[in-house]
Amino acid sequence: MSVILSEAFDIRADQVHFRYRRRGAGAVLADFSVALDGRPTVLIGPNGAGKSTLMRLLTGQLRPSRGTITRSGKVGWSAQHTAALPGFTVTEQVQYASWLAGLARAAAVDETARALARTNLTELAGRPATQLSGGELARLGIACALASAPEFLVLDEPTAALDPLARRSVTAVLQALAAQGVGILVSSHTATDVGPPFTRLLVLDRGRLEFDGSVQQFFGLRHTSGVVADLAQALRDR
Amino acid sequence: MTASPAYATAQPVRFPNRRADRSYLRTPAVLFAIPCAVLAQLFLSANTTTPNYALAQAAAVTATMAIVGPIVALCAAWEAFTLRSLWGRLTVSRSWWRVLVQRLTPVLAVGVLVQAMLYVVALLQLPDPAWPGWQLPFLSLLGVVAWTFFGAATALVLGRLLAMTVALLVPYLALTLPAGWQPFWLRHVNGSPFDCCSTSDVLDPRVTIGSAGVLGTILLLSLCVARVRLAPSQHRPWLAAAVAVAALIAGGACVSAATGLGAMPTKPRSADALVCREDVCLWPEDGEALAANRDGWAAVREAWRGLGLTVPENARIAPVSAGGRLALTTTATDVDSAKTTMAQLLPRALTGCLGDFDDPARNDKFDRLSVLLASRLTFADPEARAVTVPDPQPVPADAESLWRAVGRCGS
Repeated sequence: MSVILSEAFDIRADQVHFRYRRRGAGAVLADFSVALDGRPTVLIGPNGAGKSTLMRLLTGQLRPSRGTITRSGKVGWSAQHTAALPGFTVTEQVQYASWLAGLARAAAVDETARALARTNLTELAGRPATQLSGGELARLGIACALASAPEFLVLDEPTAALDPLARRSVTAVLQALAAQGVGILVSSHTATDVGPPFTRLLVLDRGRLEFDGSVQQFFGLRHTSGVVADLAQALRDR
Repeated sequence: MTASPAYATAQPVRFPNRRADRSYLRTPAVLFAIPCAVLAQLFLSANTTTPNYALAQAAAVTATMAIVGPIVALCAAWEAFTLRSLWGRLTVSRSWWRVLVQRLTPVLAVGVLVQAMLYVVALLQLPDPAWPGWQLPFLSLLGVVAWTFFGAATALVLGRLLAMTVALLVPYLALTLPAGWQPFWLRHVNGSPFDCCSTSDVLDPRVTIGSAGVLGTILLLSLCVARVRLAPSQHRPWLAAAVAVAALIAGGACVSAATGLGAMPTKPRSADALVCREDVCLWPEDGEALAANRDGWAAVREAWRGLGLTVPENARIAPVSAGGRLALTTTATDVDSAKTTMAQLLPRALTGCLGDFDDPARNDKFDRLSVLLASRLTFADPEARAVTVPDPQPVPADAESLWRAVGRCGS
């Protein structure tokens, strides 16, 4: 099988402006630009910073009011809470996600098997999706995102509300995927995601990119931005 | 473009029967299919109308939509919740309508299959195979589709419990309540025409147009709701609004065509369909009543002549007065009933007064003629003489004067 490696992959937001259509809603993002490459990247920021909106824009779930989003290949997306579908087994849910992502049924079957293997869910393939634990459900979300055979994964807080053991199982899957060359962007508002496999870190606050650099730079530099300095200090203290 | 060794190492895992997606077998539509079919069949068997007439049987099948409609709407709501719980949480590259139709396919299939089964069961009860025409099967199909998408639309905008309740109740109420509504035309535009049809009637095309307008509007509005909820955010939202307005206008135009309907959703059947044997013409479905009508007519004609009154030579009787026929026949299969009916109707049929009851004095004369006529008939059951008049009772000598006095109607 021949695939595009994520090193060559690019998601680019240029001068993106976005506001929700609710009356009185202000702009979530204004003249926002960022370029993502194959490096595993973690996006952090306080609640309400616009992380989920940015991820939805990058994956095409939302359309920008102005500006452009370009993707050089297929992006797999999983939102914060994975829904377990009643009446579906784990395999069937991943297969359905694969079909939704545009794969033909036969290809969806193969991609599903591959995605389950990569998220350590093969043993649970026949189990009803509603019977999965929190960590297993988070991995099911990643499997559903992988089932579209993407070159880049965008995951919105995949470890939110997980216990340490479940979080470790998810992190192990992400590390393995990064090692396999899959590009990853993960959002988080917890400290635990700022570590392996992530090498690049973005800090978003009130729709502005306050920091874009390596994890080492994030912890090593003296920051002028208040929110970045606060976050770095908070994460150092964890 | 480079080959990924990582991908290559993640070999597909083979599952037994790995291509079989059995999630469809666990959908409510499949689980409810047999109970729905049984309930609908019970409903159908409890609502027998004109058993030998394909159109009446088909109309009875459309009445079962009161069972099938709520069930498909409920199942569709369930399926739409599946979509709703995934929407925005996964990469969806397929168009919203394709995903929606794929999700609702089991519901549509079960609804159509149950209706088709009911048509087969109902039509197999006919002594002779007959096709009820395309209108009622079309309305059944449109009803299944419309209520399915209606159920899906409710689940895309309402909370789970409320959506399930609305999906279950709205179709049921829309299909059962109008039967008692006025103006009468409101009873015939929900896809389940009320009180259809005797063998002398066929379905009025305005019923099909009006029902198609209502069901089509429900379908299109539901699709507009689904489009707003499932299409990418901020993607031409005016399009759904424009389609919704157009659907309402078109639906209103169709319904306005049905506002001329009365209590019955029917129009008279063409006399060309009559089958005549000797001097009795009957609808093909009423062939069982031929002997009773023939014998009854022979007896009533002789009794009329016995009163000193005349009947046109070669007079034919039929259910309708087209072509100079006397509208006297009955669907009853016993001769007593036929004689009673004909004794009541013959004086009126000969004078063209079958539909004119406005003149009480004339009505009394007709009744006296009927009493005289019945008195000359022999009945197996003496109680079969239905018409009575106040004293003084008429005597045969009164027949000619009564006959002269009634005159003719409509001239």
